[in-house]
Amino acid sequence: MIDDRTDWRPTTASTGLVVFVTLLTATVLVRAIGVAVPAALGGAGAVALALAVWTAGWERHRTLGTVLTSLLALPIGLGVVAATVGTVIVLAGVFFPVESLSRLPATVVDLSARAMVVVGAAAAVFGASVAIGHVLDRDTAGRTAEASLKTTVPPLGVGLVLVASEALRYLEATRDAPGVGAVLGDVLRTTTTIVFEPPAVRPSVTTFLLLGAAALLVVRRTVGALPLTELTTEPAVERAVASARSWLLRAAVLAGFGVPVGFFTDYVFPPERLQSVVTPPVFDLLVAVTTAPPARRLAWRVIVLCVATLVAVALLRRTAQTSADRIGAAVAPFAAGSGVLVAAALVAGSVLSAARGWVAATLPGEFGPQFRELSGSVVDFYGPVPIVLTGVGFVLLVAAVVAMCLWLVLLTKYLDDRTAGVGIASAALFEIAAFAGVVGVPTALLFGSLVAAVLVWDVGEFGTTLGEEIGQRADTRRAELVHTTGTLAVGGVGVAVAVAVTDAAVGAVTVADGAVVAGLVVAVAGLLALLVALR
Amino acid sequence: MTDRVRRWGVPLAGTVTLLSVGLLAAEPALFAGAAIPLAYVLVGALSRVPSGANLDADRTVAAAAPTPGDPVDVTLTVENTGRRTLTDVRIVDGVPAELTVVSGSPRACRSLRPGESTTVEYAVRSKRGTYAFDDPVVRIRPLAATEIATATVAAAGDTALTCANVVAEAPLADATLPRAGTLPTDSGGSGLEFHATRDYQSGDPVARIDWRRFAKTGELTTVEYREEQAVRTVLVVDARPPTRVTPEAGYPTGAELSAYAAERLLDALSRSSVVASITAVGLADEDLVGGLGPDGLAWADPDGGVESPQASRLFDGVQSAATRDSVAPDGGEQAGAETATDRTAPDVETLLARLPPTAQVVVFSPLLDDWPTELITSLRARSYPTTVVSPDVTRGEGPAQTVVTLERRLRLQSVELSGATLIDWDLDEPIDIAMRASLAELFNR
Repeated sequence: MIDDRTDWRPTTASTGLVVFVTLLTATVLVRAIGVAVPAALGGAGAVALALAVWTAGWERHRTLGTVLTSLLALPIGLGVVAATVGTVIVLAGVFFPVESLSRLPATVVDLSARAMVVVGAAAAVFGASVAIGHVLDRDTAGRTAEASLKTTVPPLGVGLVLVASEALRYLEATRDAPGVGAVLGDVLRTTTTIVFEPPAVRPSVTTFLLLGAAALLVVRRTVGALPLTELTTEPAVERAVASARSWLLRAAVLAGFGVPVGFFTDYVFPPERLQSVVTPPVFDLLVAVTTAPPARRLAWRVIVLCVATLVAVALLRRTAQTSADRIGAAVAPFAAGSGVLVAAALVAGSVLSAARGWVAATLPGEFGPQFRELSGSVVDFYGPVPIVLTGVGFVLLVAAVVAMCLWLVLLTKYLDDRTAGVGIASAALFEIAAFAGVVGVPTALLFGSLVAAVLVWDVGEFGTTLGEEIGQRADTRRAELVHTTGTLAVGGVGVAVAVAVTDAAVGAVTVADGAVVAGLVVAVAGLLALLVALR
Repeated sequence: MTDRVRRWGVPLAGTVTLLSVGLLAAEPALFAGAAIPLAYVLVGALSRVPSGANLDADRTVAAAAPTPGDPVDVTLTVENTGRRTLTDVRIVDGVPAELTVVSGSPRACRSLRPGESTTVEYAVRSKRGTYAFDDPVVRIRPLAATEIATATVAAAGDTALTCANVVAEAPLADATLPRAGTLPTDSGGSGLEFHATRDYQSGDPVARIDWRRFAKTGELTTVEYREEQAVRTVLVVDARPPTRVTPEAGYPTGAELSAYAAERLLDALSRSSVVASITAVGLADEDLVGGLGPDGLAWADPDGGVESPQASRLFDGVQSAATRDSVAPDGGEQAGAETATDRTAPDVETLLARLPPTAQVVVFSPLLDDWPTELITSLRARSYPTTVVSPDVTRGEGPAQTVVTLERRLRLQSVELSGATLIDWDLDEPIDIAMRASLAELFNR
C-alpha cells in the first residue's frame, strides 16, 4: 500500500535544496578555477540537454516535443564542445608556452584538471536541471538520443558527401596524389572507365549486360511496387502488368546468362581473333553498341530513378498505416536536421571565418599563425560550406553520443531512474571537488564542496523516497528539516576528521613525501574494507 | 519487517574518485577529504531503527451517514508511545480503494518525540454502501535512512464509512406527486360518486338498479358511479452506458445519482402509501441477481418500499453496472461502448408496453443523450403524467464539456415543451430540496 504510487515526483523542498546547493557549489568552484566563458557555455548546453530530455518525454504533443528536442541538439553539442575543446584552447592560450620543459607535465595536469572541473560543472548543472522536473529516465534519454542521432544525419551526411566528392574529384583529376591517394585515384579512374566510358577498341559485353540486367530487374520491381492494379478495375491492365513483369524477368535472366559469354569475348579472346571469328561488320556493330556511353547513361539513370520510386512508394505505404503524430515524431528530427543544414549552409562563410579567427587569436605563441595558415589551405581546397556542414554534423553527433551515453548508463542501471538527476549532480560535484583539489583550491572550499556533494545526494534521495511514499500534497517540511540537519551534523564530523588528517599529513609530508601518501592509501583502503565487512 | 537500504552508492563512488584522483596528482588534501563521504557511509552502516519503537493510531470519521457525493472528513491520530524519538515516521492510512480522497492527503511524514502525537487529516468523497478502512501502514527510518521498518498499526476508533441511502430526518412526506392514491376516471362503473344512468343490461348487479325509477316508469335503469382506479407510480431509472459518467473523479456517476434519487423518492412514496413500481433501463443480464425479465427490462414491484429485497436488488444492479464501466464526462468513448449500448438499451416501445394504463411516470436520467427525451415525448403523447428528475453531471470547464452542457440544456427545454414536470438537480444541493421545491410549486398551481 505504501509503495503503490505510479505517478509521483520528489518533494519540492528537497528538489529546491538540491538545485540551489548544486548551482552554488559548481559556480563557486568554477570561479575559483577561472574559466568563466566556456563554463557558462557548457552550463547552457547542460540546460539545453535537460530541456531536450523534458521535451522528448512529452506524450500529448509528441511531434512538437521531438522537433524541440532535435533543435536543441545543436546547443547541446555546442555546449559540450565549448566545455571541453573550448576550455582546453582557452587554457592553452593562458598556460602555454611554458617557461621550461620540466614544468610541462605539471602544466598539462593542471590544464586537464581545470578542464575536468568545467566538464563536471556542466554535468552538475544538467543533473540539477533534470532533477527539477524529474524528467530523466531510460525512455526519455533513449528518445533524446534517437532524435539527436536522426538530426545528425542530414548535415553530417551532406557534409561528408561534399567533402568526399571534393576529395575524390581531386584524386581522380590528379596523378600526383601522395600514398594511398594515388592508388585510390587509379581505382576510381579504372572503375569509371570500365563501367561508364569503356574505350571503343573492343566489345565490353560484360558490364553492358550487367548494367542492362540490373536496370531490367529494378524496372520489374518498380512496376510491381506501383499500385497500378489497385488503381484500375480493368482486368486487361492487370494482365498487361503481369505479362510485362514476366517479360522483364525473362530479359534480365537472358542478359544474366550472357554475362559469362561476355567475359570470354571481353577478356579471354584477343579482339583480333574475335574479329576474325565474327566477321568485321558484326564486330564493329558489337563494339559500337556495347561501348556506347549514351546507352550506359540511360541504364544507370533508369536504375537511380526506379530506386528512388521504390523508396518513395515504400515510405508512402508505411506512412499510410500509422498515425499522424507518430509519423511526425519519426520524421521531425530529419526535418529539423535539414533546417539546421540549410541554416548552416547560409551562414557558413561568416561562421567559419569567425571561428578560425577566434581559435587563431586564442592559441598561444606560434600555434596561432600556423593554425591560420593550415586551416586557410583546407578552406581553400574544400570551400566553407562542406567544412561547416561536416563540423555542425560532428557537433550534433557529439550531442547524440552524450545522450546515448546517458541512455546506456540508465539502461545498465548504473543510475537509477528514480534518482538519476540527483545522482548525476552529486557525482559531478564529487568530480569537480576532486579535480579542484588537484588544482589547489583552499582546503575549506574543497571540504565544503565535498559536504555539498553528499548533501545533494542525501537530500535528493530522501526527497525521492518521500515523493514516492508520501506524495507532494502532504506536509513533509519538518521531517526534511530534521533529516537535513542530521546530514549536516554528520558532515561536520567528517570535516573535523578530514581537517585533523590534513594537519597531520601536512606535518608529515615535509618529512617524507611518498611514504605518507602510501600510508594514507593503506589507511583508507583498510577503512573501506572495514566498511564492506560491516555491511 | 525491517530492510537495509544501500543508499550510499554515489558517495562511495565519490570516495573512489577522490582517492584515485588524489593518487594520480599526489594530493594529500584529497585523501583527507575522503573522510567526509566515508563518515556518512560509516554512520549509515551503523544506524538502526530504534528498538522498542511503538505507535498507536486512532481514526475518526466525521459524518456518520453522509449522502453520496458528500466529502467526509477523516482524522487519523498517531502517537509515539515508545521511549525513543522517531525522526522519520511515514504514515499511510488505509483508505478504501473505492473512495477518492478529495482534499488533504492520507499520507504524512513526521518526526515524533516520545509521547508526541500527530494528526493526518483528509476528506474522502462518499459513495453508496459501506466501506471498511484498512489499518494504517507505518514506515520508520533512522536519521541516516539506511534501514526501513514497515508495520501495520491497528487503528482504534472508526473503521468504516457507511453512506446510507435513506435519511430519516428529511422525509419527502409533503412532496407528494400530483395524483397520489386514486385516480378518478371518466368512465362509469362501481364507485362512490354518481356518474350517469343507462339502460339495464342483463347481468348488471341488482344493487345498482334504480328501483325508484322502475317504480315510476316501469323501466329498468342501471346507475353508474365514477370509477376510481388506484394510481401506480412507475420510477424509471436511466442506467444505460451513456449515463455512466462522473462530473469529477470519485464522484458518483449519472446512473448512480439517478438511482439514488429514485431510492429517495421510492422511500417517500412508500411512506405516503403510494403504490410504486420501479424499473432500470440499460442493465445487462449479468448486472442483476437473477437476470432481467423476459422482455429485457429490470422491473420490480416492491411491496415494502426501499427496504424490500426486489428494490434493493435493482438498485444494487444499477450500482454494479455503473461501477463496472464509468467513463470520463467529456465523452471519451470506450472501445465497444456502442455495442454495449445496443445490447442493453431497450426499445422505448418495450417500456411503454410494460407500463400500466393509469400509471404516472417519473424518469430519472442525466439526459446525456436522446433516448430519455424520446421516451418522455412518447409518454407525453400517450398522456402519461410524467415527471423528470435529472442530476446535472455536466459541470466541467473544458470545451467538450461545454458542448455536452449545451446539449443537455436543449434536451431539458424539449422535455419541458413536451409538458413533463422537470426537476433539474444541481448536485451542490441535496436532492430532497430540489424535489421539494419543484413538487411544492406543482402543488400550488
